[in-house]
Amino acid sequence: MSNEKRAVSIGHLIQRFSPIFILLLLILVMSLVNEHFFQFANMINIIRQTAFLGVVAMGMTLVILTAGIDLSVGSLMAISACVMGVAATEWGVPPALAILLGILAGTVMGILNGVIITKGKIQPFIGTLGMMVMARGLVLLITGGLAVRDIPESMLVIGSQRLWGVPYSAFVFMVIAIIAWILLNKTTLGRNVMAVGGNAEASRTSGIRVDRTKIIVYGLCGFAAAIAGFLYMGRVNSVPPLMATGMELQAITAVALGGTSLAGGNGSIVGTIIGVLTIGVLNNGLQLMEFSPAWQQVILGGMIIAVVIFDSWRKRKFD
Amino acid sequence: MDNYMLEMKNITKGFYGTVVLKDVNFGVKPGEVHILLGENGAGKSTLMKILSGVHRPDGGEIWINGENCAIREPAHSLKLGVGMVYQELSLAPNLSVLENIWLGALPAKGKFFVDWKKAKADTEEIFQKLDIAVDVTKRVSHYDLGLQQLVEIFRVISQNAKLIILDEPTSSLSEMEVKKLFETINLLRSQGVSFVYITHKLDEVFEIGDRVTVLRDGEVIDQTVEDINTVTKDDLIRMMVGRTLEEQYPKEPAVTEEIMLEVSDLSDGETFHDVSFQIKKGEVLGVAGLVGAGNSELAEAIFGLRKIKSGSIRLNGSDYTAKDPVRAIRRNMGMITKDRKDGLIQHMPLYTNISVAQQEGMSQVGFRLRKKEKTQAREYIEKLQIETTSENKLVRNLSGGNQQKVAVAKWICNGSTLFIMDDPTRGVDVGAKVEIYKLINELTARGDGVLMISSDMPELLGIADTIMVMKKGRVSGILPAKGCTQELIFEKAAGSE
Repeated sequence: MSNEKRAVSIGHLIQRFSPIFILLLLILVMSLVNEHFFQFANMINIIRQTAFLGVVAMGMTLVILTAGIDLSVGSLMAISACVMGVAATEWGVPPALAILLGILAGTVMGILNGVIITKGKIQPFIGTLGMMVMARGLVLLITGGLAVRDIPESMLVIGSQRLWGVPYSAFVFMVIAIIAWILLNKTTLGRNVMAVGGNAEASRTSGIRVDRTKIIVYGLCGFAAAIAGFLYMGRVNSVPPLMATGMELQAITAVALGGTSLAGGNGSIVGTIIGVLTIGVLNNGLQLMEFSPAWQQVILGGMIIAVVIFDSWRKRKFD
Repeated sequence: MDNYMLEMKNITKGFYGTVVLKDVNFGVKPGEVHILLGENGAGKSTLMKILSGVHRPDGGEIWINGENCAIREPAHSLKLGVGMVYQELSLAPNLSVLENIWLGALPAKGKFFVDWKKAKADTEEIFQKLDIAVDVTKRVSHYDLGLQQLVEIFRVISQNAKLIILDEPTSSLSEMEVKKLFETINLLRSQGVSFVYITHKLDEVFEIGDRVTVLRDGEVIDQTVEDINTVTKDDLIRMMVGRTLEEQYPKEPAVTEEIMLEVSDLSDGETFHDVSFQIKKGEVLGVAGLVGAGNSELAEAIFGLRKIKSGSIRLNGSDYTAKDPVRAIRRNMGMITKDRKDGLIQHMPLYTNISVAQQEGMSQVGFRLRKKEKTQAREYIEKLQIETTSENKLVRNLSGGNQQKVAVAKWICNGSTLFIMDDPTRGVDVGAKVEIYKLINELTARGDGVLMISSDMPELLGIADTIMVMKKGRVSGILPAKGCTQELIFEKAAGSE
């Protein structure tokens, strides 16, 4: 019995600390290989490059914890930014209101994701895949396939400027992460998310409104995507119609690297933050070492597989 | 000790703090059929899994042929001459009888080739000895379950097993097949092969067994019965159950006159039709019926988990529309599901499971009051004597009986007054069953109503005040439990109109 108990707690420790261990190892290797890596300016750079990914990944974590998935986040980023840009430049809406409209668009489409999945009783993978294609099509329709330019300077500040040398976007990521953490760990909604993801049937018999919980979570994910779209727009100074393509896969990667189970019910916000930073460090480090983007993808892909194999080994061995 | 081929001494084993085996001594002589008896959860399969290397004991020794062995894994135990035939067969249905028997150990010719001739001759010899007509080159799925069972046994024999563990081998066999199986066992016994035979059927004990060991709550009762003819069936039952009927069902009637639930002409259009009944405050209404009689569905419908087509329900004097569990919970109902996986959130800690139904009561402006939740959980752990190391333990690591107590605690602290229980003692060990019955007594004593579905007729007779029998979705009788018999229930549940 004591043996078994020890094995369980070792497995638990490995699960808890393996993401941070991988990140630290990566930082150590990168620092040794390249002297420019471990410098304040570069660290800031990493955060700037990953802040919007981080924001999306927060929403994605909640969705995956309910045993769902959201493939539409990249498209929702694009449509939110697109609404902001077009509203400000063509409809003559004041910048603050334009931003709100964009956020509203992303949130509403996120909620729509939730409604489609729960009321239509379809797989989240398929439901959000449809939304991903549809939202991208809407962006192309609204913009006519051209990038939205000449966006008022005031709308780009947060995505591009710095405060005390730290990008505003980093602060936004931090705030969203704290909110997500509190939501998941301290509120009834967060408790319900964990319960629904692990066992929807038992949650229903226990009086949890399963559908409502899922709809809220997909709405929050859409909200996070809209915020991320806003940051992205500031960074690239425009809204290209194909912006943030493939972002969904990066966000899912970050969640998985952070140790959250894709089967739902088990995972954490802190893990995802570590996953986001791991991707950031890896991309940045490889760039400094002058690997081509193609090689960055090969290495990142290999790492995902390695991490998931390790995780499944851990489960077999200790659970 | 005289010539034991296997001796398990002082075996102790626990899972996550629950002791499953306590100081068990178990010996098998060469060429005997040793019957292992006990109720579900008594520790039989754990003991055999230790012997076959699936689990490792926490304490104790295993001696095989005079040697102290630490069995590492199933392959190791087979090497030591112990073969296990599981209840679920593990044959490759698309391979021939012959290939299945020699699976992984086909006689070789040279380095790479199979000696099919030898394999075929050897296999045919085995079957001829038993006078069983079988084409060994035919696919195993071509034959009935009885023969498949024999193939499993021959497989372990072909791997030189000298001790074969049979886990309820006759549970799905016809009478003819059982006869063949027994003939085979007798033949092999005369060749010096020993068997450990796990069964629930007491008739078989006297037909095939040499000695009997009874396990109860992880302990050997008295000691191994050396001569099977010195005991009777009744003795064995007493040893297995360990208590008289009154102790097993500690019923304390508390029925009042006040009607709590009144169901009229309820139908879902599919699985049950025109069901009407009442539950009074303090009453336990037992629901009996064969598989497919619609009683589980009826319970689900009342709790709002299933659509109702017609009929009406009155609860505590006002109308109640069953639509979803949230509504049912608001009207102070609680449901204990048939499968604990559908009712408890297994991957979460005990304290969250106890308070999960309190969506509002345990939170303030959306924030969860964790301290209050934990205090409440500790209170109920003590009150219901839930065996756990702490309120943080994951529910899936609790034993079945303790999980069931968590389920009851969840509804009690949510203020439930009407409990719907679908087979609440399923897969729960005998001791824990009694505790659940006592819990039901406490509920009725404070005026709560209980609707209890059960497949266990003695349990219904012992615990219910009134028994409703269902047959093909309709109520075929409502009888007072006092003076009712199993035969009467069965007649109502299965008999002709």
